[in-house]
Amino acid sequence: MTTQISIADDFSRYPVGRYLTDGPYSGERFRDEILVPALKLGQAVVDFDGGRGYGSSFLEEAFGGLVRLKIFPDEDFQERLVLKSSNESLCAEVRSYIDDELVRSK
Amino acid sequence: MKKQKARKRASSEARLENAKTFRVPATLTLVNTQYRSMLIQMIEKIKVELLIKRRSVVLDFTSTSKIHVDGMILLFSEVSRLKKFADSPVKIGIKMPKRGKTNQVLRQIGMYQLLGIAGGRMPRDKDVVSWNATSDSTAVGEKFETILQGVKTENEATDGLYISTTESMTNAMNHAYISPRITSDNHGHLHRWWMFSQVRNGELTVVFCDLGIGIPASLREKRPTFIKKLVATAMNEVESCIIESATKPSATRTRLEHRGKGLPEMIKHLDRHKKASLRILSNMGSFYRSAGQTKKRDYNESIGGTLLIWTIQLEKEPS
Repeated sequence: MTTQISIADDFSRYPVGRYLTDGPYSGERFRDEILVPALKLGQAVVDFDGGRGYGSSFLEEAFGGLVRLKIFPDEDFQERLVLKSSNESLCAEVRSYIDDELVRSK
Repeated sequence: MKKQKARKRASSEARLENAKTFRVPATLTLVNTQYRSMLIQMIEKIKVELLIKRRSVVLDFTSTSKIHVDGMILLFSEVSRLKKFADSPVKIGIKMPKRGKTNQVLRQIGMYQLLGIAGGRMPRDKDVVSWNATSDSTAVGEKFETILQGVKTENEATDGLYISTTESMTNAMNHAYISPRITSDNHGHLHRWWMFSQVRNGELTVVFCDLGIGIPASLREKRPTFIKKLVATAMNEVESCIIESATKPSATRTRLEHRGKGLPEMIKHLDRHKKASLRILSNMGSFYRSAGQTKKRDYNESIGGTLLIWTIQLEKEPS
């Protein structure tokens, strides 16, 4: 099963913050309420376009947190995670957070 | 009409009987040493008067003629905090500025509203209505749009500002209020951030403020060994060197490698634009960066918090 996720439409146009306690549209909330359920069902296509911008705190907690918190500790979940953005460097940034955590977890 | 206004003003001041009056400096700024010192010392004295002696105070703006966003936001945020902690019937009053423009600015940024003072001149000057102010106690991305009101042409630099300002909100939530505030008034933190902006002469200035423990104190607490080594080589610019270290990857308070990317990320965005600058004022330190070059200095007094001041040259609107 493939779940299409538009962060701007399905979560918020203004994502900000790392933890739930930081604010209403944090990386932790996006990860736990939207991203993780989608990945558990199958493939998740995450579209970043339409968002006002994505700070490192939000991205790192949402995506790096998948590995760090051992929600998906193995590399193979990345095959189910498709990143879409008109800004290619954004996708590269997200991949780097995941890769960093995979390295640290070994 | 004039007599009516004078009576109103007189009655507003009369309600603050026995209040101590503090003259606000002629220029509100934190970058000039003399005016910075005057402002900080005034704020410290007001804290003692209001929260320890429990006596009302009046802020006398009659001589204030020049207002810079950095000085204004510090005063506004401290007044917000003091108002929160001052117990009734202790109050903060205002002696209104003689200069019409100063009056307009105070109304525009919400100082009169904050203190429940009616009146003040309706903002109408172009360089006053371009002031925007917002504040919150959590990280709220939508508030960013408030500071872009009046900017007709956004560019890549202003896009990068969303990331920078919201990372500042996140930093304020995660790092600024981790320890008790060292202050002369024995009261704690007001967990809040403030953000002002102004467009003037084709330049956008955005300033973000928190009244937390400051970057130098935050890193000293959590990375004592690292900071000790840094300080040993810092000569006279100890606090500004600590601020600079926070702008480089991996100098995070938490020692967790996945954290501490916010300030380095801001520098990365900044360095892409030749006509943009960032000044970080935190406690006694000042770190300034523009066009890849940095300047650091320490001041004698601490602002008791952190300010980030971005300036961006806006593109000329098409004729």
